[in-house]
Amino acid sequence: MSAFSERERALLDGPPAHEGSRSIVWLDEIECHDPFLVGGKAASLSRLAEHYPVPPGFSLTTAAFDRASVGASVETGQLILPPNLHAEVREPYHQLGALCEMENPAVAVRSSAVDEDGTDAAFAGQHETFLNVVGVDAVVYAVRNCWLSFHTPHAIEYRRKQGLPIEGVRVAVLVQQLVVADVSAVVFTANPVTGARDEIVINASWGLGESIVGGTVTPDTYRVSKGNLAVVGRQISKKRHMTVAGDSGTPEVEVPSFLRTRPALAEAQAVEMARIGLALEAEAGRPVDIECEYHAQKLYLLQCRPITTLDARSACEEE
Amino acid sequence: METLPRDTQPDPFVGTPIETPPDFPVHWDNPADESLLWTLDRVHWPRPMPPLVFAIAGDAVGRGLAAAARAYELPIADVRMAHINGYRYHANVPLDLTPAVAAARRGRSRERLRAAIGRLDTLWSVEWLPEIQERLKYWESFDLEAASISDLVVHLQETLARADRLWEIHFLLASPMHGAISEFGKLHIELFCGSKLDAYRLLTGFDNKILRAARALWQLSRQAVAVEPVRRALKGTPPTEIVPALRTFPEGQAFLVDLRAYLEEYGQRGEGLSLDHPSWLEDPTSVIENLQGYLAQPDRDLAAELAASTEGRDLLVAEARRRLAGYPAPVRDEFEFLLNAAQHAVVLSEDHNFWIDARGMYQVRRVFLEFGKRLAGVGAIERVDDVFYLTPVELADAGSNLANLDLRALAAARRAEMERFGLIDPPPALGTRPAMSRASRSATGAHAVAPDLIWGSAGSTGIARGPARIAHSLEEAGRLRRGEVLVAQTLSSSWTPLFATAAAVVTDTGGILSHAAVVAREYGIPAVLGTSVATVMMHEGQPLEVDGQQGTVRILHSAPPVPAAAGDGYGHG
Repeated sequence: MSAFSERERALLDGPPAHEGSRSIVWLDEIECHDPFLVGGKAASLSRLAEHYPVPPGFSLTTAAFDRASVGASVETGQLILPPNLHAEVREPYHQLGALCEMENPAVAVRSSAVDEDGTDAAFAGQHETFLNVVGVDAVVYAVRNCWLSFHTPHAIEYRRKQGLPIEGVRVAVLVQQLVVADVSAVVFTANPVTGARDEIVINASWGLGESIVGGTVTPDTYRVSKGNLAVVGRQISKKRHMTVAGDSGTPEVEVPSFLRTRPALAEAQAVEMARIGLALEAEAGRPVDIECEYHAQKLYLLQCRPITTLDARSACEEE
Repeated sequence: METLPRDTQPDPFVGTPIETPPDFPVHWDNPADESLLWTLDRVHWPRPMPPLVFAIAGDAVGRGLAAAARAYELPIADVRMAHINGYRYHANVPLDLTPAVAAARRGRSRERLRAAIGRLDTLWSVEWLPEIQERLKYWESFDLEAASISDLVVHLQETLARADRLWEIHFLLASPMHGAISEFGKLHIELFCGSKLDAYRLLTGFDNKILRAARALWQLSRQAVAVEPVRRALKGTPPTEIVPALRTFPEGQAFLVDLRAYLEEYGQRGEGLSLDHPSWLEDPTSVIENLQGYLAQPDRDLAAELAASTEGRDLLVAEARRRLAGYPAPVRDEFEFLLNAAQHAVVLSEDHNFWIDARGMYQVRRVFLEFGKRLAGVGAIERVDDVFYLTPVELADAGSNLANLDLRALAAARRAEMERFGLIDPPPALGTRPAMSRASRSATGAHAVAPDLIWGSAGSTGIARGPARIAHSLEEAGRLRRGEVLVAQTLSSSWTPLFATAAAVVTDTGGILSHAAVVAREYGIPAVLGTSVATVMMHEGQPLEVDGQQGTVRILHSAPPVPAAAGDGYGHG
């Protein structure tokens, strides 16, 4: 995990005591750095938001989950929604709307779970994401589905088989503005194929990042030298598919032919991403993998995490 | 094994000569011309034309096309026109380039067209239209009757030069104009599936000169309906006798003033580019026939229909924008770029016709007619319109030797020859079919798939039933009655007023970007275009079902005997 500040560490060292904690915490609040309260994913994004542009959002905390779980029956997959959930979500959702200057902003709703030991429980295989959710009712429904996903018989069975704790998983839900991406990119501050650590590799393609992450498009590839931030390699591919925000959800559509072979990034944009990648790598103390996107020429960061696959090999190389 | 003599061996790099039918002798002045592929454009030029018309419709148009090809670096070296047995044949001289040079040229061509597409409206309203209007003023301010014959000869040269420039502008406009509409259609299909017709619905509902002309005529018909003696005169008098009849009473005289005003504005045109036929201003018969047709339609509001079309289009545009809101900006930007360009292009596809094809060529016709009057005046030709059987060079020569000139036999012989060739079916292509040519559509391919079903291009959606009205000319089309399906070889812009009367339109030639399709969409009537065979296969009065979505025309004649109520299905379906 990323290095925590003194203050964060103090926060983390204390035992979890969320009895009186808030149900809603915004990404740009210091409370949101607490993985026990908002889950590992939201906590990491919240730290990122301190210094970089991250789409605004709020977390429906584990405290809210706890209150909702009173009376829930894990065994049967029942979850009784608190009667005030709608009211609880409506206010921050409209605040978010005011921030984005939209009445009903499109949002991404993601589960961000924590186990009792405070680690991210995404590996439990039940990490839910709902993209392009519009309107309070839809957000409430998505929150409910995030919560429920940890209570389904399937999820419980999975956890049982994996030897993971069945009780005690708590789910926070992150509600974040879905910024319609013109171009999405994944930035690796090391070459994930060769293991080379002197260059940054960027994959970029049109629309939301799902098509790159899901491998349904062959993205453009840029290689930027860490030494002088010069683009040392550029491979423009024929980008056939892209994920867009549709009427409901995020369908994958064909890229119109005029755009397929056009470079998704200007060179300056690749360099801008590389520069941010370098800074984040320095903060993390190891190579990172960043998901980001451009909207109206503005760069937004959506995720930053250490590159795990690189460790063994590079450790050997360094010895 | 016997070897064929070298000259009969098929060579894939040498084209095959096209055989000409025995009734269509071809003599090539320049033997090299025989190696080109010459095609007949049946959409615009289905009939033979006299030499003076060819000077414009062939030579001037060809030079305009060549100028546009140079300006946009289109993939041809030159454009040639030949006047063969009265028909206008067109050949593109191919470029002989290496693949790399050709590719570079294609890239530049795309850039140039793209730049023009983006500036279409500015190019037209700031550069081209003012220039056209300046030229029209020049012609309008020249006193033809007062000019000496030598002044006239100078004026003729100036007129031909100015006509050349009008046709240059025409084709400088045409390439980006068609490009904008077609590129927009392509992008719309890529984004939303559907058909090009769905795309073109976003382009309708803009006013243009041709629609304005149609509405003005409609307005005139409402005036006639409101004044009983005028209505009675229009209703009960043969079209050719109406003007004298109206002169005999005050309301009629007042109506003639309005009719004259309409003709001054919109009647500087004839049927297509037929410079040798009277304009509406000279002979308003077809206009009066339209008026008569409109009298039977007491309850239409064309202005409201246009407004509804505008509203429908705005809704579709808003819906498209809503659907694209979650797409990357380059997609939205391209959509807006092409939508804006294509919307302007559709308006210009009609307006350019008003200014160049109609008004411009009306002025050229006036100059030619003045020569006709002078020549007929001294007996050099029999009739004024014999002048069209002379060439521009012969006209210029006549200026120096008017007194002793006798061109009667020459004009008569040419007229007879043209009439003779007007009776035959000209070959669609002459010269040499290129060996490595791209797959080209058969110029003669009939589109009938079943005895009672004809296929064409779907040009405007909707289904309508009605009896066929086969029209080989605008004159014949004058008989069109409300609820009938207008079936014609081609529908030029001068046929536009008929769209308010027709239940549907069907053509032999033309595509979904043709004038007929554009106007049918504006009027919301079904259109099936380019059937190749409609005017041949269908009979007058035959009940038809036109499906403008599928692009089919069904002949309903083979239906079993139907009850008397069969007529209920007629009209808009």
